[in-house]
Amino acid sequence: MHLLLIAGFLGTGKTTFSIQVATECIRQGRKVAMLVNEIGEIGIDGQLMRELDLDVWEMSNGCICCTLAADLVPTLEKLDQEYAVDLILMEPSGAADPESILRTLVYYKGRPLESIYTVTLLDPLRLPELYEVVTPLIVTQIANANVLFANKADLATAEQLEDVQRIATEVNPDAKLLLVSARQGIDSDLLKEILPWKD
Amino acid sequence: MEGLGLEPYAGSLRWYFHQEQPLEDWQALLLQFLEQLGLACTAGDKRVLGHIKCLARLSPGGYIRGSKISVAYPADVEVKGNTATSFAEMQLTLNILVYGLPHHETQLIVQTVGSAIAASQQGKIEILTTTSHHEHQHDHHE
Repeated sequence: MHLLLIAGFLGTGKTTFSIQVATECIRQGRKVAMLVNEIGEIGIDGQLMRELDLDVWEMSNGCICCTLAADLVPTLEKLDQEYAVDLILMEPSGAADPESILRTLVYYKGRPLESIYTVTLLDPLRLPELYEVVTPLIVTQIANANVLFANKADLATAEQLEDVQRIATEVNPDAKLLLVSARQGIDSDLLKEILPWKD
Repeated sequence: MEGLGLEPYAGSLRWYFHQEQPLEDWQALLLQFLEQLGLACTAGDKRVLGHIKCLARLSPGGYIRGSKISVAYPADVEVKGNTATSFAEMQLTLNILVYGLPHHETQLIVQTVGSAIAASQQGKIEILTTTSHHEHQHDHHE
């Protein structure tokens, strides 16, 4: 079982992105479970994914990096034991710190996770402002990513994309930065780059 | 973010009119609602709009959803799937995530903005459920 963590601040397009990743996995014949965490009591993203017939587990009314952290491991273990999925696609709340989530995973005692990969979505339209005012959260989301996606690239100016590149390089020079538009559809070759199977 | 708490708001709202409204009018109404919520929620010092989003399921596989992420950029509303072309009521799930905005103020804003828009179009809004206050502090890396 593999784990793909899709991080990013509120409103960066994580749900649209996750749906495309899940759809690509299903197209490849893989069994995927989506674990969606919403900070509010009545979630929207899970409802949307169900509308699209995806297998969704919701953790609402809190954040899996802190208030719901104790529930995360049992949920993963249940997914492993009862559903034997190939991939868990985890979408934490946009207020979540991925580093805390990754730390929690050491307590997981199910089938060994063959890979843990973190993708962080960035919003070029707001990133410079958010980097100024919610600095610690943005920094940890970028710093803990294996790969960064500048989403909404179709709507961004060249200057905004340069700012994203500058901030990404400043915080996590090792992570590759890819420009995408989840709304317009992500090229399946790009999606394959973040999936654990290379066939 | 220091000192800026996040008190998530989640509610279920029912919009209704005496007569059926075309889908395009519902889209326009949601756009207006999101724009005005965005302005009202960020009116004040030290508030950071995270995300205002809403979803209404209109039919099996059909929905309308909206999103507002910044006052600098327009709200976005999209319809997907097969839906009726006109209807008289809609039940909407609304999430508001604004740093620095107390929950009780958000409740008041939703009621005020929703009622004003509904009244301006001879419709009504009913807030069916709202969540209790729950502050979420995310300063743990400082």
